[in-house]
Amino acid sequence: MSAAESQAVLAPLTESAIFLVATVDPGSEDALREVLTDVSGLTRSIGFRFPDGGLTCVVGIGSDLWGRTFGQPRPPGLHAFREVIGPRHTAVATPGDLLFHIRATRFDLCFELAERLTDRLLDFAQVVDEVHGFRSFDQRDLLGFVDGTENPAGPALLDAVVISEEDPRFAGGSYVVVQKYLHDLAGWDALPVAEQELRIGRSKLSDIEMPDDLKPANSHVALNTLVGDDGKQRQIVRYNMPFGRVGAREFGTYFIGYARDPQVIEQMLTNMFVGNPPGTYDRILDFSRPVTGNLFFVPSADFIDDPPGALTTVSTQEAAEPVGLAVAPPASRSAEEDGSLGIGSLREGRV
Amino acid sequence: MNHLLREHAPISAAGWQLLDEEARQRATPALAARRLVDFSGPHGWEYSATNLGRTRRTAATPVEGVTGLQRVSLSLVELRADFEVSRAELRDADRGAGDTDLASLDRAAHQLAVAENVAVFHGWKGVIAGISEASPHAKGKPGAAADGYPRLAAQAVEQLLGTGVGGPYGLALGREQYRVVVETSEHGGYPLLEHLGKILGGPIVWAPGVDGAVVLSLRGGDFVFECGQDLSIGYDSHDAEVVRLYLEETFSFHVATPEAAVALTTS
Repeated sequence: MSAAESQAVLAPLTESAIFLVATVDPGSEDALREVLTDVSGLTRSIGFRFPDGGLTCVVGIGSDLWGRTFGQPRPPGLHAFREVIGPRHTAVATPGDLLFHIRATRFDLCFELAERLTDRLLDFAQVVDEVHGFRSFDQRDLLGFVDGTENPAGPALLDAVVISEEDPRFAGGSYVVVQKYLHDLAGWDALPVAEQELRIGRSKLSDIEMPDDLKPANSHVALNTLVGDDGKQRQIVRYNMPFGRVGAREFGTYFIGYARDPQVIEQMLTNMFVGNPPGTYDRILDFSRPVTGNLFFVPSADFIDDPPGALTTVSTQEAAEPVGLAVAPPASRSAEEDGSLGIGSLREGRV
Repeated sequence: MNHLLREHAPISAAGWQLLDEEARQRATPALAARRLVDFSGPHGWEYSATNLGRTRRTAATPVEGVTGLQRVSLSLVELRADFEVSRAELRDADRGAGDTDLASLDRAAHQLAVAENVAVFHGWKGVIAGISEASPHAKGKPGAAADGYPRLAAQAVEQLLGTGVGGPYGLALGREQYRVVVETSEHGGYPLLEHLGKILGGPIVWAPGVDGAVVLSLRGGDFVFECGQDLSIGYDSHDAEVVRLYLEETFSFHVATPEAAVALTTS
């Protein structure tokens, strides 16, 4: 199997972004499939009006929607977002079947695409969360700290995010977790900068990580540094964006983290909310609380452009491999699964 | 591990790749039915029957005042062709030899493909009703002379149109008929193959196992090939010298619209 093209997950940081999370009505899976195939075309035609705008759109699919629309095989790491309940703070799980992560250097491009997409979804999907993110001074969040410094760079970037030979069925895919955090900015700003720096684990002005002997175990940086069994750091890629409404005194950070293995992000959340060891929860959470939480699978670009056909099974349950005569025909299997030669139909113009 | 027991064979991953690729290459050109009829599946090894939506009334019911119907379905068939591969040849292949002797596999792959074609186009007595035996149209006869083909094809297309069966139409040609068509150019040098293509609007397919020729509609829904386990190589046994393997597939085939094909048979 040749390497599948991933969606534009690894786009460079942009000035603007729109995050749309939507739920999709049961029974509208066919209509949805059609919209999905149009996403790349829409993105291209809108992006073409301003070629330097770098307009991209990444589509994520939630666990329940996957089961209803694509059935088996399903991405092994995909499940509903698991709530993480800590001693003081909780990473909540909220509804969401579909994620659109729209990015561009200009807000008009993002807005146009978001509008077109929601227009197509109008009859069968509801946008349950919409965030318009902007890039703030030298990538700072509204707490005043630089966000995203720890993103890997170069080949490590691809390595952290894109599934490859470990699962050829989903090669080119990725997982993404999103959480919308709202900040208690008044409370945070009342803290002395030194105290803020201890909670984050890096210096505010110069964005330098504290040495290990000074960095508290319950700082944000310490809890989000994961080392695997092989001694290598396990990384994710964040494309967080600040957002806000000044009149409503709403200030926030939209957390969006992509990873090849969702467990890495889930472990980070456990570290932040429960603590590692338990109790040392992330002290940033005292001033920043999540109000949404979702996990999505991000299929390869090829998958989105040409999603597998309708399920032939009648039930929508996430069935194990059906056995025997008692079931409707299961969806077609791939050659890797059944050990066959994978010849299938030879009719021209058919799959 | 599934029922093919491939993991039990003394064959390296590279060896399996070689065998699968060889079988695929040998079988694909001959799998004519799959170029012309609707294909559904693969649905897996455990898939046993095609739903026809039909029932038959049972003679009696356990209790009076209750009626009974029994569902009628079409059972899948298993086709299998055994072959052997020399272990010495496999070892050489692992060393990088590029000319591995897989004649036995090649034969099996071809035979299985031919069996599939025969079952689909001419039927399998008592098991599968084939396209040509189901067709109610008068059977034409392709003569030995090539110049009769365009007229026969045009007649067949007209017959199909006359019964309301739209196109495009495909043509399955037996080996001899295919050779005749390909080697002939008509008066003026125009290749017969292209002339036929213009009449039919669909593919002209080399179909080993077909007796004569079959013209059939490709509009869809008329001929349904349902595949359970697609062509696969499985493991049977081995000794110090050879590995005994087999090629296998399961499928059912049924004709939903008998009048959507016209057979031109030699016999």
